[in-house]
Amino acid sequence: MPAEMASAIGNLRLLPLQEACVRIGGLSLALSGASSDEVRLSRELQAFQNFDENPDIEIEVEWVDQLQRLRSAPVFDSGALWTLFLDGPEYIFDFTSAAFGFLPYKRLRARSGFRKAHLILSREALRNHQPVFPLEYPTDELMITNYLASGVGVEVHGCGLVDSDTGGHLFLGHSGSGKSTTARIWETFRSPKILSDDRIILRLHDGELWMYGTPWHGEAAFALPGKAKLNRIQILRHGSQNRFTALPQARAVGEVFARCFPPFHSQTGLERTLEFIKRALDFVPCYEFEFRPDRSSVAAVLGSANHD
Amino acid sequence: MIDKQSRQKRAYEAPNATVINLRPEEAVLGNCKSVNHGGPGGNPCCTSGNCMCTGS
Repeated sequence: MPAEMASAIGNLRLLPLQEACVRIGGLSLALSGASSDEVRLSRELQAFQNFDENPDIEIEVEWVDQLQRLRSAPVFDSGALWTLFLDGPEYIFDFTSAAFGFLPYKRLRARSGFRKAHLILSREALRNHQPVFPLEYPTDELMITNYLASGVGVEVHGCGLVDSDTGGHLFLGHSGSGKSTTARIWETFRSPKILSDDRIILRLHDGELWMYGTPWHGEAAFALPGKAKLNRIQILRHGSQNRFTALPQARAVGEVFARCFPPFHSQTGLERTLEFIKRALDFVPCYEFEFRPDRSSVAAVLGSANHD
Repeated sequence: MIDKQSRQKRAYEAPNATVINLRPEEAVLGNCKSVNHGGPGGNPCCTSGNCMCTGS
């Protein structure tokens, strides 16, 4: 056991445990630590608080004086905040940022399956950056997406909304494809419940495809806990008219995969993510939705939804 | 009995490869599309600095 963990766990046992729990994508994630500081949730995550006695994912939070760089070769470099290492059956995500110095400011040690993890925070690196939210992006999202990659779901890049008359609508798209624009247009003309304008989680339940809101919003900052059944998937494309084009399943699997957040470091995770998308598209059709960014696109979707 | 129509062969379609672009800069969590605002301590949109607007 690494020294930073041994000392932290030793301190932990003397203190009463603090807990916080959120529910995202139908998965419960519990955070525990020795003080309320260690389980502090950001404002976005507070909206997803939901206690669960038997959480799907458990994370213990600990503080250490300092985290050292790992000497082993990384298995994946995100090119941004985190680098992934392997230590036997454990995945180790080291978070570094120039703003916090050259040493890791946070380390996530997740066991295979991403059901349990230790989150270790560096006092030295974070001393001038209070308050600290241990699950701060992308830690929460990494845990959830890696758990989903066991084949139980997938997070996609999309805008999901629930219309009071016609139910759930999902619009997938890369950056700049019109997700936040779509959210704003629908908000103006239909006042739907917008689950997210950027990140939606897809799950299958009893042969039905469901979407879940996430706290990870886009430019329009829509983020709500909630879920809705889907009858179709729509892939956004800017156009001069509103037009739906049904995609063959093989093409649809590729297009949805290109707009999801898979664990690129894991061959098994990638395979299961693709399998999940294929299964989802066995139940719902997928369309490319060429759209005009105005009220007419809402009417087009509502009109086409009547034919599902 | 098989009617004539169903016995007719479909016209040959040549295999068609469709290139679907992956955007790793959007699909890998932790990146930020805004160069000026990415990373801890540098982004006003997030609590202690980590941007959530990746690829939005």
